[in-house]
Amino acid sequence: MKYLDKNAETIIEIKNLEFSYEDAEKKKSTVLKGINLSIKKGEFLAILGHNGSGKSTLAKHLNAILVPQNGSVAVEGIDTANENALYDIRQRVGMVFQNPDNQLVATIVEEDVAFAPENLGVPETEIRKRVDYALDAVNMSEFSKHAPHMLSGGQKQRIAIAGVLAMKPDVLVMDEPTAMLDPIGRREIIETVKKLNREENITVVMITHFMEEAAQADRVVVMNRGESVMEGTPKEVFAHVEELKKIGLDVPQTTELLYLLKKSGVEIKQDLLTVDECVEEILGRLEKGEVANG
Amino acid sequence: MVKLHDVSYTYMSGGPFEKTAVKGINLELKRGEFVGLIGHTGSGKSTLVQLIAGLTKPTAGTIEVDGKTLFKKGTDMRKLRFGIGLVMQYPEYQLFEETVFKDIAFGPSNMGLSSEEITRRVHFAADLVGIRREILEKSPFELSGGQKRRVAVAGVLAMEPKLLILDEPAAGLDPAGRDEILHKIRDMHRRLGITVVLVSHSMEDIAGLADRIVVMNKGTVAMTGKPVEVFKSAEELKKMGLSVPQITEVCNRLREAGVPIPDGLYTVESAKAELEKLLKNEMR
Amino acid sequence: MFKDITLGQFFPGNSFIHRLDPRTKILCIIVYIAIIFCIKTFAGYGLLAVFTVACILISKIPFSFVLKGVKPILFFAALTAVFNLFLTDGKVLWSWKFLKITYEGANLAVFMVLRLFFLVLGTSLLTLTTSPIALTDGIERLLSPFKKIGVPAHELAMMMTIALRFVPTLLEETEKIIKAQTARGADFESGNLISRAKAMIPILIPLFISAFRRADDLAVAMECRCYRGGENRTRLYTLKMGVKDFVCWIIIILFTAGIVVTNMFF
Repeated sequence: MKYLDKNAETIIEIKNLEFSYEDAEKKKSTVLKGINLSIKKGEFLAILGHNGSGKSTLAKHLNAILVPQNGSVAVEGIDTANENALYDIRQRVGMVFQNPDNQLVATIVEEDVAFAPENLGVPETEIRKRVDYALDAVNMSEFSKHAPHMLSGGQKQRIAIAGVLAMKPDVLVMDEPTAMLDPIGRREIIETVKKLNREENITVVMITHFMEEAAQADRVVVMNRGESVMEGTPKEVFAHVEELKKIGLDVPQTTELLYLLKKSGVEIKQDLLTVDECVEEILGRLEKGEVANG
Repeated sequence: MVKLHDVSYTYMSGGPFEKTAVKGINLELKRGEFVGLIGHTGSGKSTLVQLIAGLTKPTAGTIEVDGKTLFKKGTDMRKLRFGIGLVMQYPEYQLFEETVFKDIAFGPSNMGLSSEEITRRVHFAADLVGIRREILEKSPFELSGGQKRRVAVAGVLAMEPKLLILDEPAAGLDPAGRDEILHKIRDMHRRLGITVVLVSHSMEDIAGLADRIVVMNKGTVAMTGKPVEVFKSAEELKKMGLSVPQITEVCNRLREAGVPIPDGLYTVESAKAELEKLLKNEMR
Repeated sequence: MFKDITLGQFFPGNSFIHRLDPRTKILCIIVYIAIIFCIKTFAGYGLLAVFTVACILISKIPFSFVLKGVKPILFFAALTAVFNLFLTDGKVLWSWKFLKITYEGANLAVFMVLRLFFLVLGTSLLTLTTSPIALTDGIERLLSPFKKIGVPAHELAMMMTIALRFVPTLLEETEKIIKAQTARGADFESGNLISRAKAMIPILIPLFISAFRRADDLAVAMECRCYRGGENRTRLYTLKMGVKDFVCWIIIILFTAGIVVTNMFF
């Protein structure tokens, strides 16, 4: 796993962010209650929370789709409330949403990927370069002339990611990008995102309620009722099995198994995530016991 | 309850875009059975349930539901469909009425039932899925995602079908919403004794619920059997783009390493119980 | 059910006609349509037929495929023919009770059918050889001089692009909703006109709601990708007129001249 440098440069700084809205009956609902979070350059951050925990609202603040009612959000030092810098911010922070069908604009894959650079007034030859780069980065070059509606969910979502990459963003924010995909599509997206984070050095903020996906991140922030309630590496966070379950979240089955074993008095490490680690730990314990007995 | 004999379905047959979705399916579902139908996207599982629900006509073969052959001359398909409940993917997108009550009542009123009977059924179905009475007078569009989903399921249940088919009922829900809807489905099956077909691509969801698993791959039935039996073939499942529950994988791996742990463990609790015995014995 | 419709029907290829600038093709089709309605003689139609067949041959699209486009208008063409045949006054050729066929009527009927036939043939050749994107692009460019008088050229083109993009998605969705409501016992087939119209409500409401939700999502996604209208927008493919377009214009001018000649001398 990549080592997360504590001193890494901050790319997005969120301070005391609050957000609330009034519904039809003038009842005020608070969605975000004072969020403080700094997103480091180059990290893969997962924001975990159940539906209605405020995580999507938080995401929309990262590229000035929403501006803070209270508190502030700064992207590479630019305040998102600064209207003059709107397109600078959106270009730096690319955003991908849940339903791939609803974010593709054009009827041909490459035309869709070209949409953002076209909007930015990038010259023709440079657009071509960016489209080729973006399609290659998500491994979809061979589909450049296809119609989006003929592609699978995972492929469509990769096109959506390419469409954002063509802006050459520094940060990729994804709001539940795998919620509507099957396991194959989900794997495609996670692999793509990890590759972009590692090879293109793009900062990734992934909002999800799938634990296996959050487990891949460098850092996890858990949200509940508009507040950040836990933060740390996946291992640190998933060790809190009870707390996570209480707020309607899951833990990976491996973590749960080790947690239950430990709880019933078996001496075993608890902060492990993958099947490999879990199997190794149990085998280790069994062998140790054998040595002690023999 | 359901008998499929050599059933095939081909899209746009004869044309250049011809595509066979399912081919040569032979399958029997017993009354009161809880069947998990699993397969990745494009394996033909959604086509199969639409065939069983009498929504699409097979291009070859015959389907018998509750003793009646679908699409046979003289079969009143509409009446027959009343007995087969199908909850499609993202069913909340089919809600349309002004109130939750009216929406759940849509099915029963199509059946031509009396208004007392309709009210009884709406209340019954709403109770089953855990929709409180005061919500019945609200607009379905005011509800949360999970609630909408349950209202849509209630709309199908209110028809009191003998066969209930659910296509990915937990798709897009968060863990709490997913557990809730799956538990409700299990309760329903136990209380009503109806035949249930649950379509999913998540082994974890199906493992603890189904009596029998049917695995679809490339338009055919690739495997069928009790969850225990199916999960033994972890490698084959992986090749079909499916995965066994993480916990089963852990147990399989431990067994391969020579740990005497029984096969067919697919819940965290059962695996924990077995491992606890082993680990505590060793420690002593 | 809807999967059988080939909408927009673009037939990918690399022929001379495929490679023409969409603006050339759109303007040519306008000239072509004008010509169809100007032709007064059968010799003119003969020339038109030769020209059209030549175009189809050059496009390398199978005749059967092009003719498919004509099928849907057969009924309409027959209806027009019958009206013209029986309801035109003039020199009577044949009559029976109140029915009569005149020389002028027969002439007009044949002309109307030919006009419709070539109209559909020509326009379908345009859509078959031009991708929807190129077509909207061409329309946007052709309309852009009129921006000054308030014609929203870019917005029109954007709307067309989005509509084309979402037609298959919404058709699929419609099919799904129909199936879902059928499974709930909805009856779309029996009853009188009013009850059938009522039966559409459970389909139309979810469809509208879904379309609005999609529109909302798409608007946000477009904003996230820095969309701000047509100002200072560049394109992946900039349209360029080439030698082939020049050649095409010469052919069209010659063809028009030929038609004028047939109108005057035959």
